[in-house]
Amino acid sequence: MKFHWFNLMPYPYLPEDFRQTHRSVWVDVDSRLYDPVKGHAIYNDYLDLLEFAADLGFDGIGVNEHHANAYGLMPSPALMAATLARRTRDVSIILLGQSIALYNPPTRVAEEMAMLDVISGGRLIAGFPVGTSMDTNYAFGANPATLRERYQENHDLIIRAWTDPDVFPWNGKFNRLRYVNVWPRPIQKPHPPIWIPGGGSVETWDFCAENNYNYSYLSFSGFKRGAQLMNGFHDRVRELGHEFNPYQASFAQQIIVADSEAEAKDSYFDHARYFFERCLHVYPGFADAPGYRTEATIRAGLKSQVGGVSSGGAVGKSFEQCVDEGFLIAGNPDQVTEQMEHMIKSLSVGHVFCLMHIGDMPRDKCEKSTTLFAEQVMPRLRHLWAEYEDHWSPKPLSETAEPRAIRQQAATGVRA
Amino acid sequence: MSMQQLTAVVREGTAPVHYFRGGAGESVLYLHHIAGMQGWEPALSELATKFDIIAPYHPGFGPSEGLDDVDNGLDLVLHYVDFLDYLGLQSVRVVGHSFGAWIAAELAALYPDRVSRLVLANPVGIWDEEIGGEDVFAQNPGKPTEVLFAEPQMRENLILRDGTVDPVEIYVQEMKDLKAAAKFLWPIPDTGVARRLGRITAPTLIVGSTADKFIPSAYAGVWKRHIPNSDIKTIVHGGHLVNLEQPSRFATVAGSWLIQP
Repeated sequence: MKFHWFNLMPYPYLPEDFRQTHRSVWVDVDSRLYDPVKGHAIYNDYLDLLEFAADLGFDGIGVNEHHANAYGLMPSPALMAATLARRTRDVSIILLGQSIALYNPPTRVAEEMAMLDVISGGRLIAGFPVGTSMDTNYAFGANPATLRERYQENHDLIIRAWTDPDVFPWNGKFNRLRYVNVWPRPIQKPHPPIWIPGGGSVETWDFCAENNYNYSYLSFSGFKRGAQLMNGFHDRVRELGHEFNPYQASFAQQIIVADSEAEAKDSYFDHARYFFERCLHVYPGFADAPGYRTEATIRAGLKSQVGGVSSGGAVGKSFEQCVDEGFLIAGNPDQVTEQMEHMIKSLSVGHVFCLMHIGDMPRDKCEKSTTLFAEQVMPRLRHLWAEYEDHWSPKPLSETAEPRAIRQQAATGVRA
Repeated sequence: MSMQQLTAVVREGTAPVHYFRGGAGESVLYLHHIAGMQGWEPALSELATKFDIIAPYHPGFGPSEGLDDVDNGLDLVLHYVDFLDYLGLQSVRVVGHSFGAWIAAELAALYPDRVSRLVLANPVGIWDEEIGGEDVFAQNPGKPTEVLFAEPQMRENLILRDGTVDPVEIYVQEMKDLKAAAKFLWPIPDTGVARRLGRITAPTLIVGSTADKFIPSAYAGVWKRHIPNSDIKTIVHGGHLVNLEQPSRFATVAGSWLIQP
């Protein structure tokens, strides 16, 4: 069983009455709410936390891409992955990912991911999300009528750019390149493992099953609601004649570990409420552009990836309700271990993205929860799925270069 | 009024066009708005008392498939040239409404000899930051066409037909129509048509509707400035889908322009 530490990097200073005074946390959120001086401290705290988790023995640390929003401050996830690649060893760098339909030409993604794989010594997991409608259609202006077609073409181009050793021309519908020749090439062959984040569209299941990609189900509706969708994926894999393997599936879960259930509730739950009430406050008109979801997915009643239609689920609920319904896994280490085991088994997942920094949680609380998880929960769940082989984790070099120590010390912290 | 529901393959290898044809008289090609057609609408039925009305669904709208057959305005124009050829019509009168007005204007600019008289109602395709207009593609899920009416509840009456149709099916259809429109209009409804409007030779009536939130009626003046032989009529209290809201008024305004020689 593998555990990855993820930080969405929300902006933690949205006002108390944000829901009442602003229509959306995404797309047209007021930029005057952002303070770049506070932002400086936040980025450094958030990156420190990812590195802290790596030190504690998490298998992977993850970053992802969002635009024009206060929900997640990583418009360029490759930048974040690059700093992590230099400051960590051994741990997988999960870039989940770059929204490949947005890059023109998408050879940019092939290049940046290859750079990250080479810098990190083969530790990269390459995430290929479609991206939310807010990010792709509204913030980046990508046409929803052709977004999925473009995603498909860009995927095909990136894979060929990584695997074809020869220079080739690409005469596509969305990309025309006379010379495709990516330098550098990734260390991992034929290419880094590919993980596909999805909210639950039937087309994504088939795509993952047919290409042997990891399906990463991201939802904030909790694992109890997620079980039906995740098992839909596993069923589809079998239907298409492939073997079931829990490591082909990942699930993102918000987790709070404290010394006691009372501490989890009293000291931590407000940060989760901040997340549910402010970070997921998406104007529904930005959640689902015409054509973003296929007709089949609309008919199946499947929700968009994040926000809008599915985001409000936990708003106004108590700590106990959030735990009961699976929005949160929270409590003392024993309780969390038990809930985690139930979640892992009911979803049949071999990878969990542990969302342990939630909303406006301060660094010290997050470090405590993360430490308790790493020391008292993770070891008791490691044995799960031991009978399966994980084909979806990186294969790094056995010996990697050591960055030299930094000579310049910030002795005083103040410059003349 | 006799009306036929027909299909035609206008070019080999393309998806069939679904269209209505009814009435008698001079032929009028009616090109529908951004949210499709509600079948053989009352406004069409009224126009068909004086004209031979031909009302196709654009590729990708309503029951028509074929959105993949068209990538841009030129493809749409050629699609309608093929359609006129299929019908054996050299020159026709054209009523374009909204998204359909954009195509009608392109057709008249590129093939002036195929369009004898032209009505452009609430035409889409020119963007002016001062005038602006609501983002029709960023509306509340479940009721995405509400903004196209002068009063939001008109969607209930005119699209949901007072609750007599399945709201899920209607929603799927609305999203299909808006997706097809988005292919050409995303993210800002500026198609570059303004550069070509000077080529139009057909006498053209531009119709603006005072309660249109998507294409405010101030755009009518912009269109008139670009089209040499043109005039403006304004429909008071009309929303973007004025054809559904005020069918008689719509048919009278269009019909009295088209009836002229």
